[in-house]
Amino acid sequence: MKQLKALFKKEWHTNRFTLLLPVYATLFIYLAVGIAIIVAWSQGVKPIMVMRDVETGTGAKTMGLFIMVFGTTLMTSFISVISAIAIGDNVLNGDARHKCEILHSSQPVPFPLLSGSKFAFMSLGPILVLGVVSLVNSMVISTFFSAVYGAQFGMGLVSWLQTWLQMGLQILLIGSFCWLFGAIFKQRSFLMMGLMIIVMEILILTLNSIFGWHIGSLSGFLLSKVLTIDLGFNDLAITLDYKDQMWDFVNSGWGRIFSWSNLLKLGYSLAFGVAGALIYRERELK
Amino acid sequence: MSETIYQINNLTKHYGKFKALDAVNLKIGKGKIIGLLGKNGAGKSTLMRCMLGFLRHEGNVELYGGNVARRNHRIFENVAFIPDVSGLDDRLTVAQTIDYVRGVNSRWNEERAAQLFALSNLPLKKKVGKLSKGMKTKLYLLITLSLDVNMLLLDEPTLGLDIAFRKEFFNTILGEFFNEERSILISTHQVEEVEDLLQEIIIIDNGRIILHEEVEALKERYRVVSLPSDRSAEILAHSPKVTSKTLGFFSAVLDSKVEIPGATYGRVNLADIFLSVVGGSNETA
Repeated sequence: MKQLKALFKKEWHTNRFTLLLPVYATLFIYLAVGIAIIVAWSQGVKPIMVMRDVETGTGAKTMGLFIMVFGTTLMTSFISVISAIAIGDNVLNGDARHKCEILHSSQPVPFPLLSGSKFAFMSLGPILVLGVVSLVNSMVISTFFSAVYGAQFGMGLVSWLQTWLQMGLQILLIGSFCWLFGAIFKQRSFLMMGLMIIVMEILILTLNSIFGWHIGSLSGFLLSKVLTIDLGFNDLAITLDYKDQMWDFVNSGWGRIFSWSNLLKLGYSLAFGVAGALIYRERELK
Repeated sequence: MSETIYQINNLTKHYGKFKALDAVNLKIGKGKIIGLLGKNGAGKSTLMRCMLGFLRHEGNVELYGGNVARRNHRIFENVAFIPDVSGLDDRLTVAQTIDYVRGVNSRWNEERAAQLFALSNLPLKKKVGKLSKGMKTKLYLLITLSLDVNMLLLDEPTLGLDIAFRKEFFNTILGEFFNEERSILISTHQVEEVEDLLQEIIIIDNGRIILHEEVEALKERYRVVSLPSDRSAEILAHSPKVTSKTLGFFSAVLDSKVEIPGATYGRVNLADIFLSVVGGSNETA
């Protein structure tokens, strides 16, 4: 436990800025919105009152809250994905780049603990930061929507939880994929990942055209089966007063989260994680 | 505990087609300070990295009778390693570096660390990257000396440091680390500075161990033979690897058994022995 704590602390000290990117971005947006509101008020404009004039049913307002929280969580999660990609490379290759790989490798730390802590920091770190940042956002938005429009406060939290879980899994998957390439390539792993996918794609196209084979596209597979998220909005018929549909939507959301496809994504993530760790272990320290 | 710390048999390491180590056989006993000498690229660092399980290799490396598997963390329960000055993590502060090693290394001795760091003037809040070379080496040294290990591997630890600091470095190691249970393997270019510390030397050249002997025995075995320059042929007849000319005299390191009438004899130092064994830039053969 003492070793794990020290390993996490080291990763925290060396990746803090990247990990907290969503926090900085959110603070920046709050600051910008705050300034905009102050400027608007100083010029006699009351934006909140303008929005309040829109006459809709409570269901639609709650739906608005749901979508708003979903949207902000989604936006924050994009930054978290960037953060996970950068950390994935840095936890594996940062020590070598800073010429201190030997210091860290000369400690009596079992390899599963070392690689496990790096993987956990790369994946759980951005997911937790996303969770906290988006929870704060959802509380702010829910408070506003329920106070001003009378929307159901709890629905904002449900939206946050569902989006966070979905996007958390996505961060885990994308982060693990980049982790694998970070283990393969010590330098410019993200670029090399892109190049490798392009090379594979060209190879597949060439083989298909020469031999008449029908090998599927790798990038197509990655984008369609692995990296896409089913958030269920296509199924939603928005009406102005639709309390029942709202609950149906929420319930179907849980179904989408605890689904076989997500279980498969979890499996892919773990497979990428283990493969990356094993490749990392095979590296020589020169 | 076993008398032998490391036992190395037929250790061979290739980098592509280049043979960095060639069938190295070596035994390191306890209570020894051993110098590992060799020219640049002779295989010193590769040998140390194989001893630490950092590199894939052929042959067998045993630590206290157990095989040294690659990336085996248990090696570092017995062995500590100091590479050259750039080895610390410059993203951490001094305090964070100490805290990190304290946390991950089960051999950390809190009492000794407190004593060592109390005497140092290391700026705890400063980033390692902002420290001078000397400070970095001092930090690495104090961290390493705070570990309860029996074997210390030093790979050019004082490279690029001034003479005063180098002296302090080796004095600290001698005073704080060495005892009859512990051994030190030092790879360095500054042979003169460690000459008085060393009990054994290992000379490696082109990946092969060409000499492993006790320093005193070596100094008995070789001596510096000098003759007036016009009699240089008498020295050259013994095929010395390195010769020198000074103030009308011609000198070379030769076996102590060599007797030349009228010659003067002097005691050799390690640099002389090293050059006479591996040859130097003024190699004659």
